[in-house]
Amino acid sequence: MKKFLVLVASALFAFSLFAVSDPSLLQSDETQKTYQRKAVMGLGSIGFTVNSVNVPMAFCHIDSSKNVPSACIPWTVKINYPIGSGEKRKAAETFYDWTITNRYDKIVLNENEATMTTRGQKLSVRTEGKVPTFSSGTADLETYAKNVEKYLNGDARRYFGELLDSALEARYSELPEKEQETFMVTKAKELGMPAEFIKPLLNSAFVFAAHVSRIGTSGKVTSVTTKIKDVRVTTFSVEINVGVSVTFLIYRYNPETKSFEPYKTISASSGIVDNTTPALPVLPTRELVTSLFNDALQTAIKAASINASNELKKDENFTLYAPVKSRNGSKLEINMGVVEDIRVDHPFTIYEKVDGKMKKKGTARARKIANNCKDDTQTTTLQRITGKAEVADLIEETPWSGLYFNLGLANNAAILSSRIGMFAAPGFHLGTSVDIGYTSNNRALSEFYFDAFLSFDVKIEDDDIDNHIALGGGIGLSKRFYTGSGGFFFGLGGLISYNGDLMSDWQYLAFTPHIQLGFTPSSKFDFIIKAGWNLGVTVVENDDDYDQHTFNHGLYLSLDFNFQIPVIGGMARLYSKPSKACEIKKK
Amino acid sequence: MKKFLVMLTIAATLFTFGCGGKKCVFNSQPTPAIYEAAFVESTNSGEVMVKASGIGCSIEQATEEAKKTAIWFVLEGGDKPILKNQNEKLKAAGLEAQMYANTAKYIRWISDIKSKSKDGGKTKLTYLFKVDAAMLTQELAAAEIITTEDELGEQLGLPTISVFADKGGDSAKIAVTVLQEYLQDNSYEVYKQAQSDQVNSLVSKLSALEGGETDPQHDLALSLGTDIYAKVSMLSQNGSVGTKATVTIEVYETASGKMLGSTTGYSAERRADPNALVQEAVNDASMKVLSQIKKEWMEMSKKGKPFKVTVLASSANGSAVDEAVYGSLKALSQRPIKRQAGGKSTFSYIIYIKDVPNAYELFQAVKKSYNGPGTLEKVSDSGSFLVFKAAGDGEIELTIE
Repeated sequence: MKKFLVLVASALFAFSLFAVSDPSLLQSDETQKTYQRKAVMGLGSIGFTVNSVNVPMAFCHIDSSKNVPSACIPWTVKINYPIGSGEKRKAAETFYDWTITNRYDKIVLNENEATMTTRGQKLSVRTEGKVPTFSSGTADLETYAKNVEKYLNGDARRYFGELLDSALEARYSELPEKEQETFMVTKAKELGMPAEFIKPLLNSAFVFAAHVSRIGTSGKVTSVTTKIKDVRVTTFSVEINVGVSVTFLIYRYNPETKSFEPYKTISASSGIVDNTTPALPVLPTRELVTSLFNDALQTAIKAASINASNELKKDENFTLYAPVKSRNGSKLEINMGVVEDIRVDHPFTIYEKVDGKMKKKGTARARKIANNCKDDTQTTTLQRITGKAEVADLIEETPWSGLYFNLGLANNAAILSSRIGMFAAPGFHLGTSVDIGYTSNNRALSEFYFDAFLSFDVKIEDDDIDNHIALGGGIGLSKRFYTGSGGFFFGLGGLISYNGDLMSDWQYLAFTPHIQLGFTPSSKFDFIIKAGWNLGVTVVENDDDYDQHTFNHGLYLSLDFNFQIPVIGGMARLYSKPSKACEIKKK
Repeated sequence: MKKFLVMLTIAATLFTFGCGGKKCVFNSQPTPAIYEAAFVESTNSGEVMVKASGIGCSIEQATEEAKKTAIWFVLEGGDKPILKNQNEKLKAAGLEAQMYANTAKYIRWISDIKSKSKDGGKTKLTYLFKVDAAMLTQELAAAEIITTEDELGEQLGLPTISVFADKGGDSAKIAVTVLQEYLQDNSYEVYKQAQSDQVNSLVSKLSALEGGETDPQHDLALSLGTDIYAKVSMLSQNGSVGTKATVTIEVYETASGKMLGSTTGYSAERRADPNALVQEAVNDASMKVLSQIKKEWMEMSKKGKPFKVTVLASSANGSAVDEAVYGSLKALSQRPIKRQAGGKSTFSYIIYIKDVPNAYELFQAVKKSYNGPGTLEKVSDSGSFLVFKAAGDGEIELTIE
């Protein structure tokens, strides 16, 4: 227990020993700055404004046998979903998993247990009655923030303050072995330990707290009636939509006032997360719907946490910096890796100081992430995407979600094998595109993009003045190969889409292999030209003009614009947790 | 046609020189392209750490240039360059060029890049270097461009040193031992004060005669006969982390009592054995002390070694003896003689004399040229402190025990 507490205090107050910002001759300047580990304490729980949520519901009925559009009516009743302590605890775990990542020395004080994870070790102990714990309760944001500050500057500070001496001694004694330029120690001593050495040390102690300020919900019960062999069958499904807003509160220890003070407040949002039950012959049970709600809520918390994590990277205290160690063609090496929570495909910006000013020089993406858990000389390989790079250029992490909003203009032609002539089919599509190499943090899936889209086309027949308006939707997968330094890539992909003609009840399923030529000027935007061939089969055909099961094919061309979106909504399900490569078994 | 060809030639020329962009021109001189460097620390007695920058058309060129700048700095830059005057620099030009061309021979360690920028289209890099200053010095001395300290030391001999605890009680005594060991390791002759050592009565009486506040350590150093003495003070402070030891070492010329230098060393602030903290603090200060002693002593060797000379005479012919001794000393010294306070029959002088290694030889020289009353008889000679008397008519007032 004592060892744990000493280590906790060490981490809180002393772990950024190497962040000593001594402007002496020994230090690198801004062109060569390197990320320094920070100690971050999480409070174990996060605050909620409410203990339960009233979900306004709507009822929709679709009678497919009568071929009429679905109709929804709002219900006057609202269903109340309690947010239990277990769900709150899970939400806190999710939040801290995504915000206090490997790049920090992490201390989390749970109700009866405290865990501490540093680069080298992880300890977990029962703390009943020994370490004061924070109880977030249910309160509005203002009250919650006051409670947090009261806790930090009361119980926590009193407790950890007693351990400061031990912590500093423990850390200081390790300095000579860890510090390559041992001379720095002498300099720090000469400058005077208390004023110049301890101050930046203490400045590295941060506390993260979060408050779920808003939970927006809506629900829908849908009944679908279909006629199967003259028997009318009705099924029911329930859909719950949840969106949360999380206020991310960051506190920093001020050694002069000897108190934790607010450092920054970040507003994070989940976007809309929907969750639907499968179609059931009876109305779903309350347990099933509650489970549905809880799952949507936890996914929303995850989405908001990922958003918060990316917003956090906009602050230079929390973003990664490193000079380029070596370069071989477009491959750049940096001295970072899983310890700093770099994900596959994560984008970086390359900077160089030119005539006295730091100027952007290019962009790069992480390809092979170093496992630097034990060996900090291991390097991560980046691929330069745009611009130039050379040894000692500064690499800075770019906040990125890996998710894009997609807008495309396309010609989605379909020629029926039974007919002569070709459809010109101008239209547009909207959707999302997500880098699954990034979301899964899997090198094998690097630069693989998963697309989901809805399309709207006007199919123009060569020999018919009746144009057909078609709606469709589908999914796609593509792989990009970046080349050169202009941000250009070549890609191969395939789309699977379902298209329906609104005028004639003709529906077909198509597979569209295609090639891509794209341009990525920045991590925020892509421009892609796609050219492919639709290969499809008719699935539904009630028009006498067309033969059943006609083979469809036609030219597919599109111009796509991708805009990176920081709010990821239900796509949060695709995101794997931060790397656990360095995870250490509990001692 | 001719006109066309002329225009074509002009166009081609313009294209070549106009559209080709600004070409980076690399420094082809053996000397560094820029002279941006700073002294960081003496990492050991023969090695210095220097922060130096270089500029070039590529990373490799800028790195090589930075190495040249680092070597230049040790040779010619900063407060303590190896080449101290224009004459040495002129003589060293050829050898310097060879050194710049073979930087790997003198660079012992190079840090990661500390700064990188593009200035005027060229890459500028900054590194920390550890430069083998001893080797540079050795090669320059071998080429008879400079005179080494060792050679100077041989001419004059290294000074004898005594070290005394001043303030700080037992900790200061430990510090004295550590410093004595350090000086001995560096070939200095250290006179240790034995438990029974006391200021001899002659020195006591002379001090009393000279009046003013007497420094017991100075008197003790005179008694021991060392050229230089050091006073060590220790201070321990309890901080938020632990205890921090601070040592202050003051170095004095024994003959004149003039302070040669003062240095402070620190230990880390931590919880540890107090003796270990004292040792750490003294280690921190020792290198600087040694450097100061060497510098001042070598300076002295150029100007002359200091001696304190005390003459005893009878009050009857005191002024005549004083006049005659002063005349003899003046003939030996190029520099002004400093007279110290004395009685009617006792006189003290501080003189700086070249080419006289000890007090005994000084006495011989004075005796030879002395033309005052009585004959000179040596009373005491130790290090740089000489006492003699003019024996003859009359009673000498200061009785020697």
